[in-house]
Amino acid sequence: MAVTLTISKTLNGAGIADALAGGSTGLDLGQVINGQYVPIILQSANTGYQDIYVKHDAVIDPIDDYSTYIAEFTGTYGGADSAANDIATLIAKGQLDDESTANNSNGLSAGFRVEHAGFSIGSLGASAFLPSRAQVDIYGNNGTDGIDLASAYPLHVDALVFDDGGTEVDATTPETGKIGISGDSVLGDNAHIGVRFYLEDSAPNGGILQWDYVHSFSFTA
Amino acid sequence: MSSLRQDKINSMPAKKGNVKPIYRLRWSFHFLDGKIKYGGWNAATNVFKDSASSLNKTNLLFAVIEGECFDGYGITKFFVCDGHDYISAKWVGTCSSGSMVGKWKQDTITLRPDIVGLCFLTRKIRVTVLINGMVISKPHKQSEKIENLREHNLV
Repeated sequence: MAVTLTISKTLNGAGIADALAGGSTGLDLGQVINGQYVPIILQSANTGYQDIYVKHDAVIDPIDDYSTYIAEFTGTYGGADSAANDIATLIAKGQLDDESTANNSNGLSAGFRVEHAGFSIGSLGASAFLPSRAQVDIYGNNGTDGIDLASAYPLHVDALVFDDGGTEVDATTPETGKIGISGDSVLGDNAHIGVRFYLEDSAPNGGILQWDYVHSFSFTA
Repeated sequence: MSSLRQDKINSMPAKKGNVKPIYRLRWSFHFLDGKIKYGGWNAATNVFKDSASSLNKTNLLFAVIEGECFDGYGITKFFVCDGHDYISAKWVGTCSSGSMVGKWKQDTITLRPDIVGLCFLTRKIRVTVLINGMVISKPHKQSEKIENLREHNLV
């Protein structure tokens, strides 16, 4: 059965797509400064990140094998270089990340990072987005991870939440990679992840970087 | 796939979620009485009665994941599953939310996925055929073993 995915920045969020440079629509992370990350509130407190909520409209079965990866931008390119070079740059940055800090305090963090803690991201404090945690993945890590369908990062169980009449609560028995149908409090009917883009201290001026953030999943045929 | 010339591959439709489409896929069910039921090519239907999960699988002889090459190389049977082993079929889809480091807004993106593969769950393994002709086989996760027993009851 056909399934539509809804990706929003707030639980049950509604609105229009961001206008990206070049004319396409999608997710816009903001501007980043060397030695920091984006979105950012206070670096020393490790605060600021982009919430992403994912739900679907399947009515019989949950979707499963949900995972994410980065790929070459397929919209109308409006960045500073080329779509092919941008994805190579992003993968290289993921490989470059020294994986030691959550808030880029040493200026050696780089690339696109996901935190699967969902409901708890805001209360994790200093450990949110810390690469040593199982809930955190860096796209392009080792130059090979999270860069295609085969190496995509599965949705961690901690990312699964239930939309309880507009209030977000943890799913009671979530399963890796599986998002339940609307109203499913057991598996959870929303995935809640957070993302950040990190820029290393030594990065040269680069201008706008564009890539596809790909969400893959299986659904009943 | 190996028989396709590179220039032909390059001329095929644009990548979907970084997967280059070379084939379009469908399921087919072959029954003991000779009847065959086909799904649509890369067609995740909105109509339940047209879905693979709605078909009664009694006397199913075998189920097939078929791919038709965009370049006219005919239909390839990528995976044939014995009827007694077949459990269910799933489409594999991808949605891309283009991302950018530049500026900042609030929004919602609603996306209908691009079909990038079709998979069969059998009693022991999950076999996925991608639109680039790649076939991936892996054992079930524990949760799938439980789910499989449920899925057959959709009929």
